[in-house]
Amino acid sequence: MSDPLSSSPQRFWLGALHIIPLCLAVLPWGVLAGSMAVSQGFTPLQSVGLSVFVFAGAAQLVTISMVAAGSGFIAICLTIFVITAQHLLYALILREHVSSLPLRKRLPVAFLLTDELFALSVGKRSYDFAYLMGAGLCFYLSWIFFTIVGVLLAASVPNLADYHLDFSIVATFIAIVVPMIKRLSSLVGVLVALILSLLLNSLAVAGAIVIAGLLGMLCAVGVARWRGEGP
Amino acid sequence: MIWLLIFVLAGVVLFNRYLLLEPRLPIRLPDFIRQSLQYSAPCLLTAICGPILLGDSGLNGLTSNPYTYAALLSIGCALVIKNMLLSVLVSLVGFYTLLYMMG
Repeated sequence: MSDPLSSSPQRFWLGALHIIPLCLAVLPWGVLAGSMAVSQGFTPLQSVGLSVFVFAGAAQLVTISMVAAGSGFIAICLTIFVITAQHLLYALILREHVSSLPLRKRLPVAFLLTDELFALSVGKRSYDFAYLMGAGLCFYLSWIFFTIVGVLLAASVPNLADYHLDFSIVATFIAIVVPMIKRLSSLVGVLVALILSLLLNSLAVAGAIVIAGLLGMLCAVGVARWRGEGP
Repeated sequence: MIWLLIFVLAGVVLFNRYLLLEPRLPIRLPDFIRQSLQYSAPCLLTAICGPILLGDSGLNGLTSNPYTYAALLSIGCALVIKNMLLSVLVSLVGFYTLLYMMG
């Protein structure tokens, strides 16, 4: 619970302390995001720039693989928009605590609002600005640091493409997606997305990933409504 | 071009993170959108794996592609091993073993 009696600096450092386990948990992904960017042709500065400005793990890996696959500018932007759309829900839930703050405080909260910060904030029922900033900034700086480590590792290894590092994206995504499949609707959605993605990509259809993903989502909702699955 | 993409994407992500924190916005997402957002992560992450699995060999190459079998192994790992990092690690070991065996 957030304690109104504790001072702001105290809440700041408490937030930073609480998010450390989550920082360690994303260490491999940060290193992966950095090394993957370099191995797919981003310059070291651009690779770190992704983490500094975009600051969204899955979205960064997706951007890197779509750029490497030669996807178009609009297709990449649309995909990232849809992929990061779960943040709309996070903001919706934090809204009652954050929307009363002035803009100069709302914007930093929004920028730092990752899956991890949301999970921590809701888990600890701590929504005060100092706590969110402490946790968010600690996580942000860790993420950038891990990315730099990944960039340095990748830059010191020649012929990185020969190592088939791109499979680690598939392995990571599978490990994230499989536990999400708890109902028939999500299973159908994922299968439709997979089959369409394979088909459309093999036919070199522009925007294949977005089309496959969106149609998968539509089918999932269709199945959920047909079976009367609860929210 | 890459830098332009990075800045536009930064704007897109910040838009999603900020929009519903804006106090002047009356909030009412249609049920259908709200419901389909629940599926955005699994469906899109899966769709992104498509071109990586295809590689250079295309649809016909799927049955002789180590990526296909390693992906099946990864699904098995994710079902059995509840720890995500460990599951990724085991499937990567499996992938490189397969790559070595299939030459």
